[in-house]
Amino acid sequence: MPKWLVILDRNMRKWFRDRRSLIWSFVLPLVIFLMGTIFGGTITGNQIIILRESHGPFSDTLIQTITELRSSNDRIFKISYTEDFESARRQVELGHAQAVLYIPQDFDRNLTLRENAMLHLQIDNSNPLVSREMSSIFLELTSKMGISLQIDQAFEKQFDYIHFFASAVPASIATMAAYQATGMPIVQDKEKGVWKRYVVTPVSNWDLVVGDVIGGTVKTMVSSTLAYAITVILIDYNYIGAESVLNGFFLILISVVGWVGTSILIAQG
Amino acid sequence: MVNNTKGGSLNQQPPTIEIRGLTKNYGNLLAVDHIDLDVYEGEIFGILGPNGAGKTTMINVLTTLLRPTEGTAKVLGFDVEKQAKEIRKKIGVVFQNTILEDDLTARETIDIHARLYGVPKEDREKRIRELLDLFHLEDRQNDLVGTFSGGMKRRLEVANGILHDPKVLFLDEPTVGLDPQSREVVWRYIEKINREKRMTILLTTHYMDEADRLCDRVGLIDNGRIVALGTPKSLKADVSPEEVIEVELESPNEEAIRKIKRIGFVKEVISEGNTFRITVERGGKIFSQIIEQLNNEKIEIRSIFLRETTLNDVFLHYTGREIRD
Repeated sequence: MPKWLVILDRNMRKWFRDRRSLIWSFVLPLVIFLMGTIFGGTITGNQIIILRESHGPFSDTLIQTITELRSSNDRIFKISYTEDFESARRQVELGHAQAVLYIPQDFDRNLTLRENAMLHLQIDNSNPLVSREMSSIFLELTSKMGISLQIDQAFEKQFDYIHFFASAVPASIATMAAYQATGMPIVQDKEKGVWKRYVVTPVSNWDLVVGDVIGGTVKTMVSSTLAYAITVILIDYNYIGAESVLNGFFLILISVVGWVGTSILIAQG
Repeated sequence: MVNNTKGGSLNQQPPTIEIRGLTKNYGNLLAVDHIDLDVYEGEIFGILGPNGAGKTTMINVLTTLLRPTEGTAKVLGFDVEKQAKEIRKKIGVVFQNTILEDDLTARETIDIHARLYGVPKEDREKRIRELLDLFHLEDRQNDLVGTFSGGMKRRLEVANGILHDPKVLFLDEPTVGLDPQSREVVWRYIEKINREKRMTILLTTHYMDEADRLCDRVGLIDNGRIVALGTPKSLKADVSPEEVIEVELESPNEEAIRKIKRIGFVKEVISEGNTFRITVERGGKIFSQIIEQLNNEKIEIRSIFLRETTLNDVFLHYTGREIRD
């Protein structure tokens, strides 16, 4: 049996018996996710500007429904009206309003003729939490009324917390978990003198390093994969696709091996 | 100057450990200072000295953990600097402090080391069973080491050190921190493996009774140098062929020292506060004369006893201080 496998065996046994290490591996991703959610944004006090160009029974019903919705969700959004689309759009760009609902001129006519009627919602996508919530509310509303809704994003770039979470958080977890799973135990072993017990055996430095790198990678991948799985579930697997998920996993693996190696070097230094 | 390479009849064979001019510095601190020493096959050799004398540094060099600053050291004919890998295959080491891993069981600890030493699979199980049995750990073999007492951990350390049948076993302070009962148990194991396997053992200790009990030869080390070397018996005989009377007075008394020195057969009087250490040739006869002399001078005696010369007396003779200093 290769000696690095013996070192790996020893690392795994110790890991499964070290409660602190196990808690760190499984709970850390959840804690970071929870903290991210807590600090992820607020959906209170959002301004919606309505631009109404169609006047008829259907648009009246729509406005009435929105007004009732506003009354029951007083803290979530406020409504104002405008007749100037450019001005409304400008308010969104400046961050003074979070959405513009545009009811086009042919809205009532199309519904009367049982033709396709469409509403337009332009949304401030710089706050992902708010934009998602707004979109969800209006999609539900229009769906119930049998109306199509086109959602336009005010900004080209999307700053979605989930997207941030997808790349940065598993990477941060990989960094921390790598040091916790490999660097820290090595420092502790060296401090206690356990390390020199292995150095005086015929095991080569190469075997020691390979055993530690693989052990550290396995341990760190548990944390990182857990965080990544949460991300993939939240971000919607169907939206990003299998190839992206696999690519992400591969990048995390490369990152973990790199961090494990770095933390071993630091610990050895 | 002590010729540390002479070993009486033992030096008919090539030395198992051969040290020439070995020196180790830590910056300005000279931990080991030009030591010459030969240790022969099958002997238990003790390095006896106080804490900080250089014992552990010497072991660390011989076990290939440290590189010497100067000089050479060979173990089983292999150079510690150039042939470390060969040495590591053939030696066993028990370190000063218990450095077992608390999260592993006793069986796993031995098994992992057996695999690292390449003990064949077919022999491994038998070997583990033998060791657990030899060191009375079979009942606790599946318990985590973290739950063991100090004595049990030490026994497991020694078991680990010998599992691959090393030719040379290094024991750094093997019984430090153990209670008398556990010390006795560890001593018996050391004697047994030396006797049954003819294993060369080099141990360091600052316990003179340990060196006296276990060692065929002892090297006394102080400030990184070997100041005396020989069998415990010969070392004691060289310093004092007879006995030592220790007297403790109520208060220091210079006059008493002068009077005692005048008594016949008194060879040496060393005072330390209220206590005199009197080396005599005929302990029994002189004992009563000393009591009489002190009574005549109306000097109050707190305690007085006659004892044989110890290695501590030898160390005191060569260095002017006690091992416990």
